[in-house]
Amino acid sequence: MFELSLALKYLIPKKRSVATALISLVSVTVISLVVWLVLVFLSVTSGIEKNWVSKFTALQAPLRISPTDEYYRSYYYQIDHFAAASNYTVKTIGEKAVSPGDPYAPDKDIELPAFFPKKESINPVQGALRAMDGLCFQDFEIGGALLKLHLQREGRSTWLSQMSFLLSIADKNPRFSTLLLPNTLPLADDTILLPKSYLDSGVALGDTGFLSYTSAPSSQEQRIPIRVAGFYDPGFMSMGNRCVLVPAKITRMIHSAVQTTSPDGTPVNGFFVWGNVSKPELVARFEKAGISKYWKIASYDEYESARDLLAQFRSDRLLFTLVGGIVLLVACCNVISMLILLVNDKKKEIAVLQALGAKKSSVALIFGACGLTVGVLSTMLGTLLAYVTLRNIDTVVSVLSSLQGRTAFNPMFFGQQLPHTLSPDALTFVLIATPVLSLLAGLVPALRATRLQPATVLRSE
Amino acid sequence: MILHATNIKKTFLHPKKSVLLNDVSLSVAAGESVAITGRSGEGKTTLLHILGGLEPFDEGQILVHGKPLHPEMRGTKFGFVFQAFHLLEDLSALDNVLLPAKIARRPVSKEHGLKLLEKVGLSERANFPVKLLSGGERQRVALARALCNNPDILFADEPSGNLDPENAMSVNNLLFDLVASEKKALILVTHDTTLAARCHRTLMLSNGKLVESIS
Repeated sequence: MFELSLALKYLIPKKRSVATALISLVSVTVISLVVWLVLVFLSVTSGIEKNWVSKFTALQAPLRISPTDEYYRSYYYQIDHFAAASNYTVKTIGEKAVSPGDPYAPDKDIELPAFFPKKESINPVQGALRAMDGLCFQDFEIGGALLKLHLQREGRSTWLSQMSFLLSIADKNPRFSTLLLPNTLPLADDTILLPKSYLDSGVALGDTGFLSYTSAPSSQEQRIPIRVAGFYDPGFMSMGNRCVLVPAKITRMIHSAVQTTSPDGTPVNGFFVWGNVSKPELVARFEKAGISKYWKIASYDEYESARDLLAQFRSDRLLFTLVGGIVLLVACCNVISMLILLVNDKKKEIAVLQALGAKKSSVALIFGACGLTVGVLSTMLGTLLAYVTLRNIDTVVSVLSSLQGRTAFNPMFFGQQLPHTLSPDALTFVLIATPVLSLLAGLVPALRATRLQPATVLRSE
Repeated sequence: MILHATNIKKTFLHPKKSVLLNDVSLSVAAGESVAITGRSGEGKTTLLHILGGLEPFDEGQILVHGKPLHPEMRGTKFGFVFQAFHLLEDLSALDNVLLPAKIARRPVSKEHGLKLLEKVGLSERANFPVKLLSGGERQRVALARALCNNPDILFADEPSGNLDPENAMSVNNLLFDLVASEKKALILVTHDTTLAARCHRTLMLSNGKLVESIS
């Protein structure tokens, strides 16, 4: 195709057209720098988000099913208060999952009040279990207690106290082990896992203590003996440093004694679901089973402890992407100036080409191809720069830290190392946006070139 | 007739309204050479550009092989030789020669270009950048380029106007030899009466009218 080969020849800098060569160089440099900046920023932020989400979903799950108010008003939830088989105690979802059927015995238990809800045709918990058939899931419970750890070091004895948020350990979680720090001891009924920040407070493996809570019926302090079996990385979770992972037995014990609510509205029990299932698929399953009114299905980005931070982070990223897009557009506009100069420089050749039979579309194609070539070249250069920068991101971070006189990226939030791989999404964005914008910018001078009257130019030459 | 132009009118509005060509009619047969002469500013080049589809005209009709003139005919039916050569400086002699075929998207071999360069005596300079060639050589490359798509009519505008007498003679001889051997029609614009005399017909453009001066 002669248009492309001519476009390439036009773009090669020549001594006799220094201005065009200089502007071409500036255009390519500016676009490359913007591509580099956008790629590095989007790759790093996308990697950070991926790490956050990875740790967050490793601790909890990508999907969570929690009971709605309708569940708490249902016959199957309230009946435990009236059933001797349930010890007249409300059961957690986990307990209900393992005790199918209706615990109420009309001939043995007390008569139900007139306002008591009618018995539903489907047991909400058993219905949920059937709806999740074939999926990897586990019930969870969240509770609160005062953690007291006895630290005996070199003959000194001290107590460490911390109001804690207790999350039942989900041993079915396929990625749970990735959170744990090395040397974790085998888990037992009395072992707990602490956030790694406890290491800074001097807590060690095997330290003992107890979880203290006040039983509602007796108003007496209850103590559950515990032992530290390990530490885990809580990621960026807002309550991460106070979230203690405990056996489900402990949270059930606390639930049976005291009503638990969480300050941010996090459901205190429900199911975590892992595996290849999306929220819409799960919602469809629950609707088909006729139990959707009893359950709220949420994806990880809707969880109370992550929602606001993730939304803000994504919003900031989107804002920067928009700013990056605008800067890219402005940078690509340089191509217009460059090509207008080129068109002026090549007026005679355009006229000759037209005299030799070139159509207007061919002339437009030559200059459109010039714009596209500048875009593609700049994208390649910017991508290469971004790749090199990401490969050496630690050096960049240390330079930034030394310039600021403090750690540029807090490891608590961003991890020990910033992500150092190119984000496929960011790469797709620049690979499409830059050449397209450059091509569009090339169209303005291309149209100008097609308006030249060959006879006028040739006569003036 | 290969080319038949009737009642061509061309008016310029700038710097003031003036009729440059007024009811100009012209016919050219296959293999015929026609010279257009006249004083400077009479509109010889404009007429050549109009006949070659490079410039629009206000009134009249031009038929090529009985069909109305269309700009696309420039690449296939016409060949141009300009006074200032108008070669593409970034390309080699061979690439310049083959350019019309590439523009017309015709499959063309390198050998075709080399053969044309051989006809103009420049096969040894095929890969030379044209900026390194002399004026006479450049015009010979332009001549080979004009023949690339095997056109029916050659339009030549003062083909030897920028050359020294020796080179001018050589290029003119080549032009007439090629036109005769390839059986092309030639429309030649020139001030040179000797050169014009080598054509079958000479037409004089004066005050917007085209008059046959010599048979």
